[in-house]
Amino acid sequence: MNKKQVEKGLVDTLWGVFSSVRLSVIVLTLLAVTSIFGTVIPQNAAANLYLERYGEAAYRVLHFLDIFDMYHSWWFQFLILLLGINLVICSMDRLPSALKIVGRTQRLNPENYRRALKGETLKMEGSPAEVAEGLSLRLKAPMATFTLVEEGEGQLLFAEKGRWTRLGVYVVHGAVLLLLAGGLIGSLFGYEGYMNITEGQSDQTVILNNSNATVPLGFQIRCDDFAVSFYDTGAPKEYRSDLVVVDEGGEVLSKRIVVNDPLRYKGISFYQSNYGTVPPESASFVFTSKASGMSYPVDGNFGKPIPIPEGLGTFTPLHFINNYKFRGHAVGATVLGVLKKKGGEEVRLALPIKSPKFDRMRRGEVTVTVGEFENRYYTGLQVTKDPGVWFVYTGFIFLIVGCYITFFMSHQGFMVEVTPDTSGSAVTLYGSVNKNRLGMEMVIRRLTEKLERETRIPERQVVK
Amino acid sequence: MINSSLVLSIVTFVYGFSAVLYISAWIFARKTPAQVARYSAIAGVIGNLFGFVLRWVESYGHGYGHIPLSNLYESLVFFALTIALISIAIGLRYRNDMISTFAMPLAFIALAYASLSPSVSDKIQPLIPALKSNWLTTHVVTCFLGYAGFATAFGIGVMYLVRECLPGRKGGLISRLPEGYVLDELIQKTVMFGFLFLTVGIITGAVWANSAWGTYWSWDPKETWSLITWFVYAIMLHLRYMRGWGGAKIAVISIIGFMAVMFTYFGVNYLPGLHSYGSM
Repeated sequence: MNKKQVEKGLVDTLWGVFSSVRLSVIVLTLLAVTSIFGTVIPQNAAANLYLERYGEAAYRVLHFLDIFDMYHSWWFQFLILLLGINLVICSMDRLPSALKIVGRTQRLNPENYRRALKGETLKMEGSPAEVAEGLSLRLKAPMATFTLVEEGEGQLLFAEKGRWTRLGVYVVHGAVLLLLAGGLIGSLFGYEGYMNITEGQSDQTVILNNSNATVPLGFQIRCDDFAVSFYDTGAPKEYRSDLVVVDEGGEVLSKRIVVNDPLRYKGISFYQSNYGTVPPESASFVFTSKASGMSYPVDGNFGKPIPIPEGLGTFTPLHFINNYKFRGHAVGATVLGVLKKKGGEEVRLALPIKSPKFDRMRRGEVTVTVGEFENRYYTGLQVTKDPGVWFVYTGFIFLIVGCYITFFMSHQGFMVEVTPDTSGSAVTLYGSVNKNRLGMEMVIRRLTEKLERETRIPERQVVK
Repeated sequence: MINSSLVLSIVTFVYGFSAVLYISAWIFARKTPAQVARYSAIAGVIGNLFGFVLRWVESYGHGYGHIPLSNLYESLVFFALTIALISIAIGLRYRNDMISTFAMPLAFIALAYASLSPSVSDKIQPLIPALKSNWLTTHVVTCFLGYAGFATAFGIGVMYLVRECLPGRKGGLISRLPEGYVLDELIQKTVMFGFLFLTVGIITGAVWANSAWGTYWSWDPKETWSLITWFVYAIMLHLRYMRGWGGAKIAVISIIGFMAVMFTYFGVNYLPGLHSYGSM
């Protein structure tokens, strides 16, 4: 063997492997089985959660195998790539001969049909030529246009339909390739990220989900308003944001978005995904003196000490927390601050907004209550850019159409045999089909029964 | 006062009655119980549909009207309806009651689980924002038509294994089942029906996810399991068409496939993910 022959042998072997259904079945089985891991083991969680759950040694092994982000791991992507190559090679291998079959016309060979499905033989009045002519009109609708062939004294009618449906499976495979291509384009040229925009403010950068890197939008998004509403049961009813696109110095688009209705602009989509309260910069506080019983409302900024009247020291509000937990109990929005008494002693205070009497439990010289503050929401937007989505959607349409053709349509051939008989003619229906034999069997049986009802009833009446 | 829960509880017993009659028609080889079973199955389907529509109307009375396809109870009611409907349709088309003999008990079990299990709440709840979409109806209806196709294929697969692998004497219980090659073709047909609808179900889900969350695929456990189910049946179709598998091997795969369907439907509720409302 010379070098060329070895190369040719290798190419043929590889071609054989990649065009085999065995490889498809193996790859699909591997994809199905390995996909289970990712549904049982939480994906993309924090490292310490995995350490706690699986222990050090198991963690290392699983981490090495990328199990914690397995759908994006090299080996899973490799399986998908293998499936794609398999699909391409399979189609290249089989499509030419399928096209050749589709280009042909029906073979008018009676022996092929005599071996296929067969109905009961009926007796009819008239010579074979007359009966064949009548039948070619009567059976045209359920079968197709007939070609007449004479065989001795008998007549054979041939018809076929649905030859093109043999290509349905290639539509399905092409659709899957489109889905894979769309997914690849999306991961190469698209991104997924988020933006948190406070009511009344604008932003133009997206923070990416996986890397925390930022991407400029090239235009600005302003949030004019955010609102959340609830059912009587307490379940959330609607989240909505009023968004405005500001591009090249002008407002170009405004839209009220809700959960299933995003804003789209220049190939980028903005989805309502969460919300929160923006910590206020200032608030009013009410100080009540234990000695005099007097209450004093005073405004102050976060981070700056507020002098308390009657020389009772200072109070510095430090943080505004949306969901504060006081000794394990959720107490809602809370201001945290430091009270400096006149002697210089410092006490840390937690002041839940909803319970104004909370600070009284401390039984101090002065009681602090949070008064009014500016309450603003921010809207959490999921931002995605996916130029591959149109490939995917085209793939979806082809997938549905292709499955329908492949499963519910078939290439059907028919033969009607009319032979001379003592009383006139004997008629037999034959059918062949490339799939769904049972369906063809029923078609032949029902057509035969129908033919018998329509042609034999008058004869019976004559006999009576 | 008549309400949907009551109607559906009654339908549960109608389905149960029908299933018992189908089975006794098989065991005692009599025609009459099979006829009564068929009529009661049709009555059950009408009642099931009535209960479904009534619940839809009732939800408007609560002030948050929506098609009843939003939680486990409602999906089970719809599942029972599709199984019963498909098995009756196949029975009429192929002029054989045996399919219903194995599928009707499944419809009964689904509805009994919904009506009687204390862990399944039949309370009408308002729709959370993520479910407020026109895709809800198409997505759930197509998925459940797919599930029902696979459930029927499972029933026929079990029937095939009973018929072909157990020793049965002539004229006995087992020999009264439809012939093996008929069952074999029926598995194929029901799986193709299920596969088409599962495909449409996954696709409508993906399009919906893209309009709600901005990604058409996010490897959420329910998504992944529906894909696993899709792979299993894709493997089966390839083995059958391209490698000529048939008979017992295909019947076994139809059973494995249905296990995957059941896990997609129920098992996933024990895993974290976006479809968590399916467990309510």
